Amino acid sequence: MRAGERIVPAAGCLGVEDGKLGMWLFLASEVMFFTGLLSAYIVLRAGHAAWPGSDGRLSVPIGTFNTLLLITSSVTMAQAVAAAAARRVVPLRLFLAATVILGALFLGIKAYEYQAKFHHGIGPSTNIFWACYFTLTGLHGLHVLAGVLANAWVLASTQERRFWESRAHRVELAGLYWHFVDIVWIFLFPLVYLF
Amino acid sequence: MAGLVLLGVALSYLPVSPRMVAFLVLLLSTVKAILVAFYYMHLKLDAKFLTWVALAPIPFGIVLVTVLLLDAPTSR
Repeated sequence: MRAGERIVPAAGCLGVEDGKLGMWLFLASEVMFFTGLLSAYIVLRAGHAAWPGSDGRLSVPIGTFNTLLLITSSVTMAQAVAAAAARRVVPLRLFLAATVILGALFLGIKAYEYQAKFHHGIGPSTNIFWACYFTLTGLHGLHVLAGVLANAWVLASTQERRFWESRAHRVELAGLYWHFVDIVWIFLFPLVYLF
Repeated sequence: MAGLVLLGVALSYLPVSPRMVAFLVLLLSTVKAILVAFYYMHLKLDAKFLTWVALAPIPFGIVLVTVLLLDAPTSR
């Protein structure tokens, strides 16, 4: 048996567990969701030579730090999945908790950035750049929040007696979603902060 | 991954055209995304069918961006 032992038996002739297939199909739809948003941003950016103009700039150091936070949380999530596969409950809880904390930190820093912009009178209606910025990062932030809550729920469920019998696969499913959220930010950060 | 992030930030300060910077940084982002998908999301280890599911939206995304860019207003 290879590392990443399956807790739930494979489903049907596709050789894929139901939950995993369902999560990948959901992520494929989410790819289209963010592709539409990022396409709109790219087209609007291509049509405006001066961007974002004189209405303030984004902090690249803060954005970079946030990116590193999210990447680190992906590492801890991957470690949590590996711990779940090896049925090691203490590392599983530690890495899941670390993932939740890092995700919450990401959201906290995002909230700080938003607050700083609002303080300077910059909002979604200021100009087209800020409308795109708040829409893209706001929707991504909501996805991060959902991921943080899901990871916290999975962490709480590790306390259940039947966790290893029928619920351990939740860790991998939550991991898939969390890594997707990281991938979206990997594209969002350079597009919004670096250009 | 952290190194690739910092490389991307450094590339954005290169004294080349913005289009070239955008191309390089997005290429780097694609490499990072592939690494996350294949290793963290276990696409490399899982059934090939899941790779096809993951790749399915990509052509639609490329067509969408291309068609929109062809219709985009020119820079002012």
